[in-house]
Amino acid sequence: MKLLTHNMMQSHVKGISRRFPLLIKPETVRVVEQEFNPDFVRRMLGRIEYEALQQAMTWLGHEGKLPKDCPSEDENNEDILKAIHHALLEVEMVEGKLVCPESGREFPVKNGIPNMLLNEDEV
Amino acid sequence: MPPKSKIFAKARARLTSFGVEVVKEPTGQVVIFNGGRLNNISKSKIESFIRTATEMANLQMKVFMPKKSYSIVELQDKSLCEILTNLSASDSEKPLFLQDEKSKDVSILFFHISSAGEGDLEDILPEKPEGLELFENLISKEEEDEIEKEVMKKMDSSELKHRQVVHFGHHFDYTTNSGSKEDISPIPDAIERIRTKLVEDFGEDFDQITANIYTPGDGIPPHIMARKNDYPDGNVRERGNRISLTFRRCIDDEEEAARIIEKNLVKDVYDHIADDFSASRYKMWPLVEEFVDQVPKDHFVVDLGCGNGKNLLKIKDRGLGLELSSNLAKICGSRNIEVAVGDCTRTQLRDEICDVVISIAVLHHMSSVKRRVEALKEIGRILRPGGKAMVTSWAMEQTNEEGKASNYAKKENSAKSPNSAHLPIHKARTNFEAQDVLVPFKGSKEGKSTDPAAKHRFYHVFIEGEMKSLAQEAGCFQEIKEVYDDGNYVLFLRKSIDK
Repeated sequence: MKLLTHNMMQSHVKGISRRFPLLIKPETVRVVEQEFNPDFVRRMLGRIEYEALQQAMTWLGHEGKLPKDCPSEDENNEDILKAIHHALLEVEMVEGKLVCPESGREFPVKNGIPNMLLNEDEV
Repeated sequence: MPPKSKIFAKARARLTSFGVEVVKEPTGQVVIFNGGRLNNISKSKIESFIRTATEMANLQMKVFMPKKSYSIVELQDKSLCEILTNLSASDSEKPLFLQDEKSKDVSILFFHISSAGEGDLEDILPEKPEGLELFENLISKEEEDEIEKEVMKKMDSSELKHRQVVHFGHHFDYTTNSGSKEDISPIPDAIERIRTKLVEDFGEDFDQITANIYTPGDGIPPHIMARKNDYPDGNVRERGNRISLTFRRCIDDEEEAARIIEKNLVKDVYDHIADDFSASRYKMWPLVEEFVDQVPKDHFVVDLGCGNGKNLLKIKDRGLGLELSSNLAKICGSRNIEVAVGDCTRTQLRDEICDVVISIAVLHHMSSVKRRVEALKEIGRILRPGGKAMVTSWAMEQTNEEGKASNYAKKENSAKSPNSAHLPIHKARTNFEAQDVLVPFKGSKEGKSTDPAAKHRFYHVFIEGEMKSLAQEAGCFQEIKEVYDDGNYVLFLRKSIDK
């Protein structure tokens, strides 16, 4: 699971108000190099929740590599864009758990795949 | 009042016309003229009258009440029969009366009989309990044989005391006295025909059938067969299997039925066939490829119901798949496609996070109108304003060999939810007989499953304009276009810019 995916997910457990971000409890983390697409990274800057991305990097033990403040969507500094690219697409959780920030419901992540299915009584 | 002899003659003539043969000597059977169901006389009235007349408070008797103006009483002791006929003998002064349901007196007469008429007593059932409807000759002898064959074929080891039980449709669970939601077996044609007849008569869609099998000698305590024609030749005949069928409705709630269908007939089946299925689905469908190729290189794509991920292969670095079957999701994972296991009506994705949604051959697995609309609404929710979507589903109108859509009469779009226990099975290369069908999955070469039922997938095939109207109902798209292509309907959607 990439952190871009994490950044786009939220908890839909019924009866809660705080759905985002899902807490990350990592067991195995890996870094897989991906092709750099600066246009895509810039576009995603307007889409993602930057603080949650920083938080996620910390949870995965990769803090300190991201700029302190969210760059703008017309950012041209390649180093900055590459740091965002790295965080969004290259750092992956292979095994671990995602946890609903309010209900504590856990969503297991196995082989890099989060299982986000809820039971009937949870929705 | 006419003389009694005239009344007697008239009564005899009536009974003769019904085939009831009046005789002089007692036979053990007595007819009560004017004491029948058509006279609104109840069985208990007859019984209490006879007990009083014979002064035997606990007298056992059998009362047969055909839908006629007479009934027949069978008594062990012939002398008791004489007591009754003497009561109405011609030299008696007073007529006899029974009170009907409205407490009105009905004049009755007793006669000895040698034949009960109307095909004899064997065909005349004792009076039925109140509220019970009797459908006579619902099944033919041939159907009976066919049902016995199917039931005996399925008879398993679930042996209850003195009987054996098999289930069709939802397996009946004796611990909860309700139908199982997971264990569902197909209903054989012979039984399905009866089920359909009953559904027509009762307006109730039965989804559970229990067959109780009593093999010869089982379940029935020793008893004397008292009816006249039980042993016409004086020989005891061998009794065959006795089978009773009970029809029930277990799953009442339409949405629950929909969930059961998607769990058992979509998710579980794809989990089961994932490898074979994936091996047979490697090529992108041209229309989908064209659509995906046109997505700008900086756009983020979500594929709802991504299967083995074939439609995301070209856009791995900016696509996310969601798949209900965890085994199919695993295949995506092994191809380095970003994927999560989830339900496309509840994606657990944030609002407006993607530029493009594709959902290819997924909507036809949703088993209720409500779920289909929910899935389209969910697409609208996760798309950014102005974002585009492509949704495809199987069409009821399949193409023939010349590539033209077959133009058989379109059926009315059924708003009714399908029965989780019974769906018709679609035969390949034929027209769909219904919109809600089971489609068998033919595996690749080594696809020799020992469990053929597990390979049936639920499909709702769409008729022209149906997907379009669902998208309109979803209420979040400013552009909705539906096209037909190669046996499929394809929706092109654009999310509204203003909310």
